[in-house]
Amino acid sequence: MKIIVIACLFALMFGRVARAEHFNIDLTVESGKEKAEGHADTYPPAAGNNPRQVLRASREAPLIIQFFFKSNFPHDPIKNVTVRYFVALVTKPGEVPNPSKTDTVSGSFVMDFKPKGEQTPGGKVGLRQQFRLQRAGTYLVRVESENTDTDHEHFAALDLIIE
Amino acid sequence: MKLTILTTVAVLLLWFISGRSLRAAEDFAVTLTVSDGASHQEATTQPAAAAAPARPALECKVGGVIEARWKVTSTADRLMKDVLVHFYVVKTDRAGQAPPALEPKNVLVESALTMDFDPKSSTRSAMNVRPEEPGTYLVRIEADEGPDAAARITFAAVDLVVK
Repeated sequence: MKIIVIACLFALMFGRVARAEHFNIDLTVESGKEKAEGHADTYPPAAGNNPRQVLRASREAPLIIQFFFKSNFPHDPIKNVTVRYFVALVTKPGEVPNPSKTDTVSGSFVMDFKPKGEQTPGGKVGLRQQFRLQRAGTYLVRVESENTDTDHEHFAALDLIIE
Repeated sequence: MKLTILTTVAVLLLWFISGRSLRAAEDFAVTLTVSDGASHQEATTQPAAAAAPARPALECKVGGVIEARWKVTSTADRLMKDVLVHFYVVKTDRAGQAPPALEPKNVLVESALTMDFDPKSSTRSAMNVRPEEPGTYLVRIEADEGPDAAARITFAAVDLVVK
């Protein structure tokens, strides 16, 4: 009985660790010397659990989005994962819209993530893009995983207010 | 005798060089499509030789959203480890120019991912970018097998002429 309880506890602990460590994500948006960051969160719920940082910038100001999305999973390759990113206008805080094909900044990668070894890094993808936004409003900047074959997915996000 | 040895060495050298080229050509198939919504240009795996054909070029209007799609597929019959898949759009002086140094101010978008490729496995991406200034841009996708002496960079590229 004791062994079963210990095994269950271990399984619960391991499950939590594995859930927390699938991916490391670092997302930043810069406007001149101003910068906001977002880091790994999970969904559902769509908006995740962590508060989002906010960056304010003016219309037509040059902006730079950058993200690094790295696998921390130590066991098997995770195959055919979609990593999607977008900058989309939202009507209210906390909204998570579907990316549109006409968004100035949007895209996706479909790839296999190799596991992280003791001496070797896991699979990773990164992007850096210059852009400007002509329309004032609040934008959601988000990078997210899809199809990781678990009960949750990973993302990082921040709000961008164009004035 | 001397002539025979020299001939043998020359034949071996030619065989070695052509063998490396053939093997490199067979490691990856790369495709790239660049579209402005109305028209598009496609490029497939291109030889690095000086005699390479002219790059396809897409003309588009400044401020329009351009979509770039690429796919890298392993055609090798063995596991290709730690392949770097590198994509970028960079401003150039003229169409057909060799890839310039990637100075951040000239790079509209740059992405990189690392992946182990099983035979026939692939990775792909689609992304939007909006050139803000008229000029010529190089859109290029590369599969870099790594620092190994026999490694090769397989690539496809399109010129984007923004007016």
